[in-house]
Order: sequence, then structure tokens, then C-alpha cells
Amino acid sequence: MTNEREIIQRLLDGEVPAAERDEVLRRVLNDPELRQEYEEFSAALHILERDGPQEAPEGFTAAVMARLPERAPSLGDRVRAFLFGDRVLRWNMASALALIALVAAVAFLTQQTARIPTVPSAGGTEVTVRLSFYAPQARQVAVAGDFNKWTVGTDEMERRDGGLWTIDLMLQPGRYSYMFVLDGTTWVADPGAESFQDDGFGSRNGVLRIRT
Amino acid sequence: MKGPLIRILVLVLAGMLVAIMPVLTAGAAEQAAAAGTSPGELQQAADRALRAGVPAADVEIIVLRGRERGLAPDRIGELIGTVAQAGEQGVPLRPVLDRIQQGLAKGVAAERIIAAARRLAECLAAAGPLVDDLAGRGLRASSPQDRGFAVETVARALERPVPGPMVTELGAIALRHGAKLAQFDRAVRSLTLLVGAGVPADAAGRMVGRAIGRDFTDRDYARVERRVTDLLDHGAPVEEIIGAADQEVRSELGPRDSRDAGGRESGGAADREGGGRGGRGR
Repeated sequence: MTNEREIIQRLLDGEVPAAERDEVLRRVLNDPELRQEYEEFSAALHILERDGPQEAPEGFTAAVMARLPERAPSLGDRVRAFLFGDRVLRWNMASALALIALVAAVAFLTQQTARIPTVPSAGGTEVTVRLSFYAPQARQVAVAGDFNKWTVGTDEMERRDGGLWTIDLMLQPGRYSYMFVLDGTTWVADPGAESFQDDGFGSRNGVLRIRT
Repeated sequence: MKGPLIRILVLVLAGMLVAIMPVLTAGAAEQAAAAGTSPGELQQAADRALRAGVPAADVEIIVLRGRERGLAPDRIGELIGTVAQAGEQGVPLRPVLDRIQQGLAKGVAAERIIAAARRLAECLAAAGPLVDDLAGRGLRASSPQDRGFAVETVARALERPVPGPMVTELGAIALRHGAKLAQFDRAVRSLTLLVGAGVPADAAGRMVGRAIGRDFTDRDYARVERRVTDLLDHGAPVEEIIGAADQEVRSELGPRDSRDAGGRESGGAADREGGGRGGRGR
């Protein structure tokens, strides 16, 4: 059958020698199946010759492409597409307002956090340390040290009976220097400190060590 | 009508965004700018410090505290520049920052703070290799913090000034007695206090070397230090301080009998809390 189709093809293309043409045509026309095929091809050829090249219908290319098997993109292609692929940012006023509100909130929180003195983390669990200081004449006593970056006023002590001032600090294991500050102005080393250390300015700080 | 309204709204929003931009960039740099300098020194110092690894919160504290103290912007810039330089040289930043922040809080003159911070930074730079050398020779750390503490302690000793070779010699004594880095650290702290009290470095070094040989604990060192500081506070002459400290170190009854288990640092605060002058408890 394939051979006979090739013969029809050659016949239509005018490639059969003139001496054989009648014989070949007679064979084709005597076979009903070949004859039908020959006539359909001849009609199509006739239309093409008469009307010239035809434009493909709309959507033809897309339909063909859609039928092609998809080629999976390589990892490199995917990375390139992710990093360098064009993107269109669609926005509206509501989402812009929400974004601005979010940025403002983050900025506000960041600023607040930066103002809180923090202790460098030493690892381990925090423990409660009670500091006490006897100062019946003082109106206010606070403790300042490297654990609060020497901030006066953040760790104010509480007055108990008889002029004893106390404070409970939550500290991680480590070594800390500190002093008491009376009435916001007078710095005094803790007379009951475990040990003392020169502060570099002619005074002594109390030293507190918390072991793990 | 709708078009102009949207345009106005967009402009207002853009204005809001511009207004909060300084907060978004860097609080420290903002504070530096707010201190009133021209686009120069202070802000440049702050930027330099941030690049050197100084936390922004610490720069901000220095700027704010400096302004509270009425310091000129260029003075604040010098303070920040000092810590920035330390960071650039790889010196541990925390002790330098601590000294500056502490000095400002205590109302120390800016010139003294700068001088003291620079001196400490120099000593920290010298102390690092010294401690690392001892660690390389076998003086072991018990915790990751020990090295940092030891470097700071040795730096404070060098500041007094305790000669570097004396610190190395104490390290060698500690090694011979199987001590750890933390015990060496404690011994050097006592040495520094003795020298600070006026005891000549040679005599103080001999005393502390003897204490290491006797396997002193934290409590033992604290007892010697308390005796020395009491005498110092009462204006005792140096000879008396030397004699008292030497007696404490040589005391046959003292160290062994007062030692607590495992070398735990002394407390005793609770005892003092009711009737004493001050104290600590846990």
C-alpha cells in the first residue's frame, strides 16, 4: 500500500515517465481504494493551484504548540527565571496603605527596642540576684552596672523598713560590675560586694559573679 | 475630581514614608545627626563605628548620654571614634564600650573617658596574645566565656601597670599547679587590686604567686581583697597593707578552713542583708 501511495504521489507530481504514465494511471483507476485516494489528492491539488497559498486559521499555531509535548525546564533555567524573570507588580491603594502601616509599625518597634538597654547574652538560664544596700538617709537608690549599660534609673531599688534598699535582678551567668546611685547623683560601691574592681576613673566597682 | 484627590493622597503617603525613612535606616546615625553636627564628624564617626561592628544601640547610648552631659558633638564623635578604632583593630569591644558608657553615666570629663578608653583598648590588644599564649601552653578554659574574661582581666592588670612578664610568670605558676584559666583570671584580679592599692608590683606578684601555689579559691582571694580594701578605705599606709595581705596569704588557718566546695565564689550577702551595709543574695 505504501508503495502504491508513493506511485500516486509521483503521478501527481508528474514524476512518472510518459511511457509508463498510462499504465500506472490505469492501475490506479481500476483499484477503487486507490482511485478514491487519487481523486481526493487531485482535487486538493487543483484547489491549491487555483487559490494559491492559504493562511492558517486563527489559533492554528497555538493549537499546534499546545499539542507538542512539554519540555521540562532545567534547574538553571528555573533559577534564572526566578532571579531575572520580569515581574509585574500589581498594586492598589489599599495594599499600599497596608504596606506603609506595616513599615511604620516595624520602624516604631525597632526604635523602641533600641532604647532598651540589653545585656550581652552569656548563655544559660537567668537567675534572680538580690542586691541590698543600707542607706536610711537616701530618698532614692538605683543600681547601675554593665548589665544595664550603666543606665541610672532603670533599676530602682525598693525601700524596706529601717532604710534598707533592695532589688531583685534577673541576670544570666557571667561577671558584672555595678555601683549604687543615691538620689541620682552619688555613686557608691556596694560594701557587701563579693569583690571589687577598679573602674578606670579612680573609683571601685562592686563585682558580682554568677556561675552556671 | 477623583484624579486630584488620588494625587493628593499619594503625595501625603509619600511624605509619610519620607518622614519615617531616618528611623528605617539607622537609629544611631539619626541620633548622631540630631546632635547638631554638620554632615561630618559625629555622623561619620557613628557610621565608622557601625562598620567596625559596634552595635547601633551602644552608639545611640553614647550619643544620647553625651548630649545629656552637654558634650560638644565633636567630643561625642571622639568617644565613638575611640570605640570604632578598637573595633577596626579587632580589640574586644564590650570592655571599651563599657568604660565609655560608664564614664558618661558617672559624669567623668570627656577627655578622661577618651584617655581611659584608649588606654584600655591598647591593653586589651596586648592582653589577647598573652592569654592565647598561656592557653596554648595548657591553661585550659572551663567555659567559652573564660577567655574573654581573662583577656579583660589581664588588660586591666596591664593598665595599673602590672608588667606583662609578671602576668606571664603567674600564668606559668598556674600551669605548674594544674590551675585552669578561670583560676589564673582570679589571681590576676587580686594582683591588680593589690597594685592598685599601692602594693609594689613585685611584692604583689610574689604574694599572688604564693596564693596560686596554695590553691586559693575565690573566697580566699576575696578575703585578702576585703582586708586590703578595708585598710585602704581607712587610709592605712602601704607597709601596713602589704603586711596584712602577706599575712592573709600565709595564714595557715585562713584559706583551707574557709574554702567552700568546688571553688564557688563567695556570697554571704544574705548574712549582711539585715544588719550590714549592703550585700547580695540569690
